[in-house]
Amino acid sequence: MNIYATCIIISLILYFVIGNVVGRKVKDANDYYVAGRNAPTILITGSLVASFLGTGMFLGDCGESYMGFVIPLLTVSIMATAGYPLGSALFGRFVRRSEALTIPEYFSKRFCDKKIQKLAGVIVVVICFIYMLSVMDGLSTLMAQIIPFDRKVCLVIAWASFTFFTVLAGSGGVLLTDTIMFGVFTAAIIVCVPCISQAAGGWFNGINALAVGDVGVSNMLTFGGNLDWMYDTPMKNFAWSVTYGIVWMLVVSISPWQSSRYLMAKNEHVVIRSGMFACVGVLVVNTLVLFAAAMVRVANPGVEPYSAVMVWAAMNLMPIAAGILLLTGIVAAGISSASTFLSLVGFSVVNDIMEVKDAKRSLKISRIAMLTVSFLILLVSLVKPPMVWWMTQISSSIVAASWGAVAFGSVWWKRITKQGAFWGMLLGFLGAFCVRTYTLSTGTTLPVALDPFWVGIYLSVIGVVVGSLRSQVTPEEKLQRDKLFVVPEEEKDRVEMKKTRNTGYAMVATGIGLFLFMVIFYAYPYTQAVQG
Amino acid sequence: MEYFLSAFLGGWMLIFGVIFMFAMNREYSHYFDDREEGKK
Repeated sequence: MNIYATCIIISLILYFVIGNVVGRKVKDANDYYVAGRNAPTILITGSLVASFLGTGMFLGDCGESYMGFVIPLLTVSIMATAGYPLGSALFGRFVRRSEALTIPEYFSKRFCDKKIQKLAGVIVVVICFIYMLSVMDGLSTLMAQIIPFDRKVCLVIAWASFTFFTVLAGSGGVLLTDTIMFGVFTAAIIVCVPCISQAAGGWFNGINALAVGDVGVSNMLTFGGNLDWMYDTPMKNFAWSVTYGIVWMLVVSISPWQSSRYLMAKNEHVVIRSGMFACVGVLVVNTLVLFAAAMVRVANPGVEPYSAVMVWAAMNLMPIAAGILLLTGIVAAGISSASTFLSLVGFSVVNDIMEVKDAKRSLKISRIAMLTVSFLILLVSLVKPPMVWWMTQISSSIVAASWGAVAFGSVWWKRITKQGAFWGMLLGFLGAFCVRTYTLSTGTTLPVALDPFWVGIYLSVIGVVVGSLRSQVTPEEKLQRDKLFVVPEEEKDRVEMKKTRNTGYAMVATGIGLFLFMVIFYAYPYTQAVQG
Repeated sequence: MEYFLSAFLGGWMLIFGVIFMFAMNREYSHYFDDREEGKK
């Protein structure tokens, strides 16, 4: 076994040990589901970033960036990061006030209706199951390129590495391992960017080569990207970027794998600050890694498969220590996402669909349910039926379409009722799911305005508005909404308030810093190169 | 267009930062004012 494989295996054993140590401290369902609601900013930030960035980013997005779609993808990812302050301030802290164990339970408490909890629970299970298949596929493909074992053996290793600590430790273990993994892949990116740009002859030579050099792809750094990749005009690609920037901003704001992190926060200041820090963290990692993946093309325009571009860079362009750090970082990113999705599926099956309320039974049944679901995911991944693999393409737009309007409406629209919430969620889910299924099964490319996300969101808003206007807000629903706006006494600490308010400066500074970075390191050298 | 894109993306973050600060200021200033009046 080579040095890369050995180090990856050691890192997996380390996560396993840490998760099991934390698992011994779990006493009740509160510890298991929401880590005792006592997590500090660092753990919430780490988990927000680590559950969002996975193999999809390090393999999928980096591969597309390498193929010339770097700027449209950068647009999507930067727009998406604004979802963190939006989600934490406008949704996350209100969710925490409800003291629910899961996001579907929040909807149930807010609308005094068990039916919506079951519907939301089913959506969580379906989406997270599909996402996990996608992550498992990415992880096993990645590991099979590094570890000299069959893909199926790699699949089992990857599965075992996150399943046991997630089942045993629940949210506490996931938060801690997520944060460690976040540290590992952030360090990896910071180290890998100088190595890759050096291999391209330095950052500015790299930009120059991508702009006018012979790298096998035209329009590599234009704002519309490679016109052979998706749409055939720059404006269509830009419209696609803005659409998916909004989709991912909603996903970041309200998706169960992001907003459920806020349920574990020690207080609301932790919720808001971690949202702000996650925004900056994701922005820095995404920006650097996408440019780095594009620059690999200067060193080698023929990496096959293109999704393995960062693996190739780690093994060929970087010193061994840095390469090990990058590869363990990519594996960590995949495992951290998988552990979060697995915990969400287990919690929703027991708390939202089966509705087990006995605290002691709930803990035991949650572990059994999580293990069962995990086995099921392993079996499906091993069989790899083709029907499942196009389904992995559909999840992000579905969750944004089905939950977006209902989630923000549940806090900010006093006229919303349980009927409106139920129909909004159901129609958004069905609209996005059916249109995406149609486009994928027939190979049709629809105009951007008829993207599955937009169809889902149109139908969801119609469902919310019509359903709410055709019914009345009950006194119980009004009481529940009013309770959301009662600020808990422990949150009224003046020093904490000042600190939280000041984190807004970080985002303003990030906006200015991002503009300067883009002008100095992208727009100016690019236009200079093109104008000759 | 590349300069426009840089301004668009930087501006996107900046606008959300300003909105966030404005919203937090509005929400928290109520408590700051109350306590300062209480001190007087």
